[in-house]
Amino acid sequence: MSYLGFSKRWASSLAAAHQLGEEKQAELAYAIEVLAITFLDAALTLIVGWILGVFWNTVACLVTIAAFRHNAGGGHSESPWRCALVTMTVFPLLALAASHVSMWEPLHLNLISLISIAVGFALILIYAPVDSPKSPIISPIRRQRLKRLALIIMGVISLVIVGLSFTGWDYAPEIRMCLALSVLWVSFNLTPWGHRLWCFIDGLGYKQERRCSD
Amino acid sequence: MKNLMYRFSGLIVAFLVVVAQFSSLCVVGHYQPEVPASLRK
Repeated sequence: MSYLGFSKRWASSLAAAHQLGEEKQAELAYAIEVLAITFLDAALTLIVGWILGVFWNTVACLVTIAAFRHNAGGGHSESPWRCALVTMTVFPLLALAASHVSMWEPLHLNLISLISIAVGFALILIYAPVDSPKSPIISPIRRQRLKRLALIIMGVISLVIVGLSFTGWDYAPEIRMCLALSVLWVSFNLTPWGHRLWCFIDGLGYKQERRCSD
Repeated sequence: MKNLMYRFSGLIVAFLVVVAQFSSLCVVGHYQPEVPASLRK
């Protein structure tokens, strides 16, 4: 198992203190790494969102994407640092784009909402759940359950998008566009093109061409 | 600080085991740490 140095060290000292075996030590290292990367990514993303003046829009994008990806999965980077860099760039940019797009005509906002809902459902039905070689989904029952949960989550997101269009709340169009654009981004991550994009990002800066495994 | 961490290390281990069980697909970012064989399902 290849984990970052701090995850291995902390897991090793916790395992030694409680006389745990290698298997449990690997689980602890995995959990530490998941928590550390999630908090680091979220914190950096929110800081960039705050600097750009779209903090709450970034929160809306982050929540939507987290809910969607937890069951549907998607393309991944091979490097935690490249992942952090892309996450802290893409999410606030989605939030910023949403604040600009929200000033468009209501007809255009409805059209974007409709397209994002249709694309979200269609790509979940075709591709979800998308696992990775580092986290394979072995059980067909679990695969079905994740697909069902992904569809339910997409249903809830759709209800919120539609519901926001009927409220008189000043920020409703912005939040609605945050959800719609976030759905388009995570849906794209389910597709083979999304995987190719991550493969391209992972290959940036390397002289030799990296080959995609998808 | 070390003494405090040692005192609550049992709770920390239990918390991390629960996190490991529920986090087999990544959430916020786009990086997936390798899931241990014992957690693959």
